[in-house]
This record gives sequence, structure tokens and C-alpha cells, in this order.
Amino acid sequence: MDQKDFELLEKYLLGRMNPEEVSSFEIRLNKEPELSAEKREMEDALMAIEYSALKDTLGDFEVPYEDGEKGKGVTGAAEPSKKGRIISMRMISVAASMLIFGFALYFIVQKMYSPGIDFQEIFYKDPGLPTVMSETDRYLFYDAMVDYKAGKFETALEKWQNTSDVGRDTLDYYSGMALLNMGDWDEARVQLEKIPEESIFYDKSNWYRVYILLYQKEYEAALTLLTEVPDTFEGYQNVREYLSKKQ
Amino acid sequence: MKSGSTRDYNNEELVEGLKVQNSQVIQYLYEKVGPMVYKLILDSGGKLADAKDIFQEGVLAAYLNIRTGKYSSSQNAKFSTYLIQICKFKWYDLNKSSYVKKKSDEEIKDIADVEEWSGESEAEQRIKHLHKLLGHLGERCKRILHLFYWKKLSIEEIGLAMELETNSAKNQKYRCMKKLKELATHKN
Repeated sequence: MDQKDFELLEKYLLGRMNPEEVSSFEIRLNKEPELSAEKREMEDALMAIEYSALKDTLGDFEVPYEDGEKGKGVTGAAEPSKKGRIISMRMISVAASMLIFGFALYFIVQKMYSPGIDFQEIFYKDPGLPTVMSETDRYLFYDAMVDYKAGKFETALEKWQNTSDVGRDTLDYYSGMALLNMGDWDEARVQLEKIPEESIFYDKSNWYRVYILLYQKEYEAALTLLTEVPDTFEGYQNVREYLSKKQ
Repeated sequence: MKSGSTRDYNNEELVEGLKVQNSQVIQYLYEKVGPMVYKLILDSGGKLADAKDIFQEGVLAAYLNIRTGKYSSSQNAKFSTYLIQICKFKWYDLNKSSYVKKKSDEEIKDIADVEEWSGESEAEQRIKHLHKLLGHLGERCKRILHLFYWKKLSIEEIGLAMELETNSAKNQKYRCMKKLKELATHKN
């Protein structure tokens, strides 16, 4: 299959064809057994890529099981599994040599590449807006901003949820920042994703979304998003360098 | 470890959530179903590491069964029950010889179920084989394929993320898929 057909097939399987393209491509699939076989192969390959992604993801999860003897959550590292016990002593000695080599390599790589970045310092808390209490038409918003500045994020969030006296993007952005400071990463992410491109908070929201993605170990997505953020943010290059090495 | 799940999910949500690898749904399965599987394995002489392996294999198998249409929420058991069954039979399968010895004649017929539940379909075998071959492609290839086919990034975005010209990223992706195909043909 040449690259042109490969890309057509890919477009078809990823659902990126318009209805007319789908119809004519399906006619080809019916007429050309080779193309049809290629389609099955690509379907399997795409599923294998998804399967690999899930397998990697599952490594981040643990079953919260209390074991009587250990009284701790399971790490699975304490004892070898039944499959693991099949490993022979000979393999263990090979593994030991590799481990020594691995440790040496780890320390060399750490020395070379450890970024030593303090992400909390880079993504410091947004200080909030100056509280102009005389702006009575926006009293509720600024009243909540006083709470935000005082670190009472939950109170601020609650007040902002009942406010409509400033722009939606301003509310979404500061609600996102409050959630971030409360440690609710998922909700903060959802909130910050709402900021439209034309908003003055757009770049800042993307910058903090990079922080969230970093925390959630979604390094590829973080790097991609970082490309949309102006490099004028303090610490930008450090974050970029760190993410590039994570790829 | 990921933070705790925040709510309950109905059967449909669990199936659809696992299908798209939603991390909250996976967390829920690990919190709610995982302990039952662990108990089952530890109570029948397994180790914690066995439980961890079997549960992960069970989730992966259930995922493939959803994706290949072997499991359907309208036709099969409740998903959490289904997942426990897969794990249970994977565990029995691993201990098949000792399991058979301990069972009475009436119980032997259940062994057939072991084959049905823990046995891999042809599609599963092909996908697991391709998954292994992906490991032979090299990190750069794996990353391009992952970003394009799983993360659904555009080729332009991949170019930016990997510091490649768009055309070069596109050609590399094609070559990586071609290489995967060659490996599959060669190693079959």
C-alpha cells in the first residue's frame, strides 16, 4: 500500500472523512480485497496502540487493599508473583548485574539531566486582582477576591458561583485558580479549559493548565499546550526543557 | 497513585468510561472491584503480587473485550461482575493443575468455563502480539504513533511537540506504521 492509500485508510478509520468520501472509499473497500485486508491490519494496529496506552496508564493505579500482615496499601513489590517466581536463579544473577549497571546509568543520567526545578515556585499562586471596594456594582466579585487573597479559597469560590457582575471568563479563571489552590486539580482543569481564546486570561489559563498536566503526568499534552503559551512566562524555558526530557 | 474516585458509576458509564480510558472510571474500578479480586486471590493462597498482576490483566482483557465487541452491556453480566469473573478464571487458569486436583467430579465441569473466560480470542492474541512489537519500534516511533492515534493530536501539533517539520512528522508516522507491519509479517 502506498502512502496515499495509507493516509486515506487512516482518515477513514479515524472518522475524518466526510460522508461522500466515506461512500466512495467503502466502494473501493468492497472491490479491493487487498485494501480490505490492509484495513483489518490497521484496525488491529490502532487497537494495539490503545492497549499499550492503557497498560501504561494502569501502572499509575493501585488497589487500596489492606493486607493483614502488612497493614499497608498494596505495592505488589513485596513478594514476587506466581509468574515471577518462575524466574530461575541464573536469570536473577543476570538481573543483578543489570541492576548494578542500571544504578550506575541512573546516577549518571540524573547528574546530567536532573532539572532541579521547583514547580511550585514557577507556577506561583496568581495574586488576584486589586480589591477596589468602591466599585459597588462589582461588590460581590471583589468581596470574594478579598477572601481569595486571604487564602479562603472555598469561600471565594462559593461567592463567585453566585456572582454575575463581571465577565464570565474572569469568573472562570479565578474560580479555576481557587480550585487549583484547594488542590482540586481535575476541577481546576475543567474550569480553566473554559477560557475562550479572546479572553485576556487565555494565556495565563493555558500556563496553569500546563502545570496541571505536569502534575497529572500527562507530559505529551503538557508540552503540546506549552507551545501555545508565550515564552515570556518566568520559568517557561525550564518547564519546556523538563518536558522535552520527559518525552 | 491517583486520587480517589468521586462518585458512583452505572454499568453503561463503566463500560463507556473504560472504553475511552477515563481515569476516574479506572480509579473507581481499582477502588471498588480491585479489593474483591485481591481477597479472592489471597484467600486461595495467592500473594499480593499475584493479585496485582491478575487484576491488571483482567482490566486489560475486559478492555479488549469491550473494544472487540466480546462484551456488551446489554448482553453480558454487570460489568463489575464480569471483570471479577475474568480475574477469577485467569487466576484459576494460572493454577489449573492444582485447581483440578482439588475439585470433585461435579466441579470439574466448571473447568470448561475457565477456558471460556480466561482463554484469549484470536483478536486478543493479535493485539497483544502487536503490543509487544510496538516495543521494538523505538521510543520516537512509539511516541509519534501514541500522539497521533491515541492522543489524537494533529500532525502539526506533533511536529511542534517533537520539533519536526510537519512533512517530516507525517513521513515518520508512515514509516513507523510500515515498520510495525513488517515486524508483524516477519514475526508471524
